[in-house]
Amino acid sequence: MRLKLLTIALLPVFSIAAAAQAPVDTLLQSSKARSISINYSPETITLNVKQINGTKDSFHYKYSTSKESFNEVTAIKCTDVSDILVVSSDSALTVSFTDNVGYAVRNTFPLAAAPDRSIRSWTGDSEFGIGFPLRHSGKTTWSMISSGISFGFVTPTNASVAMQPSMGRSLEWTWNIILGVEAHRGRSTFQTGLGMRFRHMSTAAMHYFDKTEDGRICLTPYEEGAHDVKSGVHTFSLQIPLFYRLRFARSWAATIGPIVCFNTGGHLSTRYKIGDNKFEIKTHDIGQRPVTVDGLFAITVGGFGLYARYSPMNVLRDRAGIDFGTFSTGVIVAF
Amino acid sequence: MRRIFITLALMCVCAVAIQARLNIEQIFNDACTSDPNVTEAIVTGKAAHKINSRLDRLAFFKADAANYGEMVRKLVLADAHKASGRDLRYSDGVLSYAYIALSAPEGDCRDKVNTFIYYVESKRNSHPATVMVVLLEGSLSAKEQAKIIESLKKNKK
Repeated sequence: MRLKLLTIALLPVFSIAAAAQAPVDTLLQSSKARSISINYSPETITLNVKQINGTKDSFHYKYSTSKESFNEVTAIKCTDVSDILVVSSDSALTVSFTDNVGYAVRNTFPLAAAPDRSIRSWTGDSEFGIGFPLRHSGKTTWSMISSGISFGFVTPTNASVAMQPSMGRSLEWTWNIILGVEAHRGRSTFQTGLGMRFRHMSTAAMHYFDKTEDGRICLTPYEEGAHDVKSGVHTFSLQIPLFYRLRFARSWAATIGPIVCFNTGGHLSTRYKIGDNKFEIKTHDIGQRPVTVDGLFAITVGGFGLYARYSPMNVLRDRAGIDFGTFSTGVIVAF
Repeated sequence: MRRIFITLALMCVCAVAIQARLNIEQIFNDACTSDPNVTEAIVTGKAAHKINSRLDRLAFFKADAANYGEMVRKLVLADAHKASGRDLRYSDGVLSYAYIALSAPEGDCRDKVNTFIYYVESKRNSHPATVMVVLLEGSLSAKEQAKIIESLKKNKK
């Protein structure tokens, strides 16, 4: 019991004493690096070791005092260096390395014992990634992105009863933003760019989409004995979305925004069999609206989620004589 | 003789074990927290996850600089020697601010426990001068821990 008490009582003393030691600190020990650069004046020393051991990571060190430096500056820069060792003590920084011709270099830079001074060291793939983070608050970050691949089912809205849409066979594939930009600030993100969408709307009726001579789209009955029938309207759109994304509750995010669609392609596709004979009819120039505006809402957890997209404007022009918008829903990967 | 040997051996083992952890942990022991002039808060478990899902522990310590300043500074500097990233600022020859990141905070940190230590000493002409330590532990990235500090500052306002 006494033994235990003695041990517990002495532990803090022992460890605090040990903590007060450690006068020399090895900041970096690396076998190779792409380059090393040192700028030294009695008031400031800056050291950068780039691409340590062939990685993207770089080592940064900066010692500065409150005095402005007007003294002579020593600059050293070498590429393809090896056996790098950076050691710091309270009074000096020692940098040793072997240059690209095999010459061993060792420099000791005294650190000015100024009352006001700062020492920063950091290993990472960006310039000094640490510091007082509070002063960076409220900053908007811009970045190039590619985002939002989705797959869903489509159903026509405001369609005539005769159309008998089949949501199970009406599909769409969308890449919301193939290439775009993102403005990120706090929990909010704005995204825009160029994307694309393939959409296919199918009918379950025993009629197929047909184009008359005057350019109207109508539903025509299949020939007698037709089976394995499938007919639908296909459209291809290039799109420019403007999304607002709000991140909340851990990795949840909600995305909402309008999408301007440039419907550059469209055709009717009909396939059926009579007996063992297969028939396929494709009709182009169906008169799709060149520009439509959709709305999208998506909710994701950790990048995966569900979306709903509403296209209130008619897919085809008025002269086509068949009016319908679309509503689609499915899964989205909002990477 | 045998007892003395066992005692010394135990002390060495325990001291090594403590050294392997953070030196700054010592300010969160009973001796410090029983002082009524010391403010201490430790958030762990679900409460920590509510702040950030990757945060395992948040510890806060505030005390008067006259009594605790020197001890806290020694512990902070000892941990700084083990750091992968550090920002140390001295004012009038005394450590006034420290930010210490232990283990690499860049990249994917989902499975890695990172520790961040903030040390701030209020201006010595303010009355009474205080030292403050915030310890964050978890699989946090540097950006995430910065956001937590930011939110703590907002809550304080």
